Amino acid sequence: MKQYLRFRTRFSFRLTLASAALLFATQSLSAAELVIHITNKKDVNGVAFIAIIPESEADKFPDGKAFLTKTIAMQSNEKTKFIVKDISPGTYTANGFLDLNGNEKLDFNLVGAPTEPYGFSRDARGLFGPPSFADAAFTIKDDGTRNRQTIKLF
Amino acid sequence: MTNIHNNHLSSFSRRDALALAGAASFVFASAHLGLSSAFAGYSHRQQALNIRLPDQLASQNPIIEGKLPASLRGTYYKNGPALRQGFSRSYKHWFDGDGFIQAFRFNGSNMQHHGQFVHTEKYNAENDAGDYFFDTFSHNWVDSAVARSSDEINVANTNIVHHGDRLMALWEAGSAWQINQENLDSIAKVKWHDDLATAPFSAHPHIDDDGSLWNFGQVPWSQKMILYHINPDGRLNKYNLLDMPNTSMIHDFAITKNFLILLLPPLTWELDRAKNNASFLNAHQWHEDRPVEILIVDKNDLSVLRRHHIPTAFHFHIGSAFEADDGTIELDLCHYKNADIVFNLHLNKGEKNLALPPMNPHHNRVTLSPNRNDGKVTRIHNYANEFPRTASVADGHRSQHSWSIGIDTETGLFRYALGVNLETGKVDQYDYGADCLLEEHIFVADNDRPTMNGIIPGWLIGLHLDLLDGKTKLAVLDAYDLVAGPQAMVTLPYGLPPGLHGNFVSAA
Repeated sequence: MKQYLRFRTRFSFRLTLASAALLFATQSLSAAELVIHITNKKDVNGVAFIAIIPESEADKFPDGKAFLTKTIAMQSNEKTKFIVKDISPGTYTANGFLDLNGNEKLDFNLVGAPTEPYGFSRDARGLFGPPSFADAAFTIKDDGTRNRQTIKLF
Repeated sequence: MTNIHNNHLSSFSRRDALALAGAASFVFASAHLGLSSAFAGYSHRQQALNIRLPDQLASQNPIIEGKLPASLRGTYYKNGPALRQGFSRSYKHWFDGDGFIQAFRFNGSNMQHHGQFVHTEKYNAENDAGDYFFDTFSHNWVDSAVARSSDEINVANTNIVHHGDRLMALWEAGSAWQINQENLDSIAKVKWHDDLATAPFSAHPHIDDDGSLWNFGQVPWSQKMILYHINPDGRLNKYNLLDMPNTSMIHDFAITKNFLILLLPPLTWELDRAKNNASFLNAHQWHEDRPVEILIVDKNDLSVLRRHHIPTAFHFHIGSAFEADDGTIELDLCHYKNADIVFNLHLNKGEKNLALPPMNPHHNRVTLSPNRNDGKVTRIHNYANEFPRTASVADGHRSQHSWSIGIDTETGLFRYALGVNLETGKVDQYDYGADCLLEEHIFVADNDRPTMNGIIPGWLIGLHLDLLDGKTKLAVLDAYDLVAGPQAMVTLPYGLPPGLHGNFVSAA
């Protein structure tokens, strides 16, 4: 079973590489590809809730309508990644939290501090609150540069 | 026993001892170059506070002079900031270091000692990195990232309290850390309630007659204070959130039969300063023109019943507090003219403002009448002292006696063990000598002797660093006859940096 899974992983990985190469070769894209790496820096298991938020929602940050959301079950100290295809050039942030109690939201204590692991792209940190959109923002270009962002949850 | 220390007072033998022991060269230099005693005193503290410790220390058979009392059975747990061996960076302020927990275990004839750092999130992360990199109480590194939560920089270094079968290492701005009572391993952070996860739980909780525990926690950035009431079994009974505009630096509070008493000195945390990358300490501002505000909180619902104001002053510690039948509250505390002291507890002399006059506290009594909104402040005695303790098992009662450590007003160093009769102001004192650096001394009840006329029999025990041989020693004194000197003295095979608070847990 494990071997089968490993095979599938390799297979899909190859497929991804192949399709990326193909897209790059055709030079026809108006959209790019983004790889999001997620690191669970804590000794706890949970479900990572990830959101990618476009600049058009910056005034509502860290809320606002996400361009894409994803949930991934994560073991303690696990690293994982996923690929976002067809992301338009522009400015975005990526953030996430690790849901530990299954209520599908980031929990806070009574003085407003998060009590579950969380993180923002560029490891942005706010003083006594979330960081600004600008601090967490990254730019997607369609010039073939590798678009890679990491969210550390801790 | 007394002779050992009196020998040190002769300058001839002191120099001999220094030469023989090959003691730190600056002590030698300061003795021979005739530098001022204040400067020499400062060097002593600097030397002591810069002692670095490994993760763990233990001594099975320390040297015991005199005789340990047969009925002294139990463990003296102690906490305090310490610098780590192997790290190249250092800290500037006494309160910055990671918490190092020690256990002094007495069995009636011998004593064993062991110690271990609290393995907080900060400790483990810096252990992996091989050096300090998180911001601390007094210091922000140039390249440091903003802390993601107060527990990320929790050093658990201020007090160690046993309650509800939990041994807890306490800081002021984050969670309590539960410590294994036998091997001192760090177990986990204490979560009293989901709503209180990672919330500040201060370092001077007070235990009541019924065995329940009261505490507070301050959240400067949200201008709130959390009040806690914990059942005797260690589970949360209730909590309340108070609005706290002008959040001030508070280290201790007091309980009486019906009230919690919070004294707020005018040393306030300023958001603008914090936003300009000031350290936690430097985000505080002293307001010479503002009084001390005192909140009287109802134990029943944790609401503020009334407020008093007394003239401007700063304090860390309150000794004892009680309320009379007519509702008048009396408490004693170690009172400073202003908050200069907290900005000048530096480890390195370049950081210290040597131009400041000595910052000696006065042992004062504050009396608060229920019919007035001011308060009366009176001096109890004229010795400069700190770290006040009482004999009571539970707090909130009138105490006749108070124990503390006295300051050598020339050097600013802790040198004397002090017993104070709070009713008469009479002081019983033991002088350890100018080459000893004292830590908090605590009262330990002698459970084999009955309480007579309200006097609980017992000992005063406490640590000091002997700067002549560089060793940390524990003295046991008769609590009511300090001037007679130690009955027993235990010498550890190593020197430890002066710590903060500790408590004794009697053997079952």
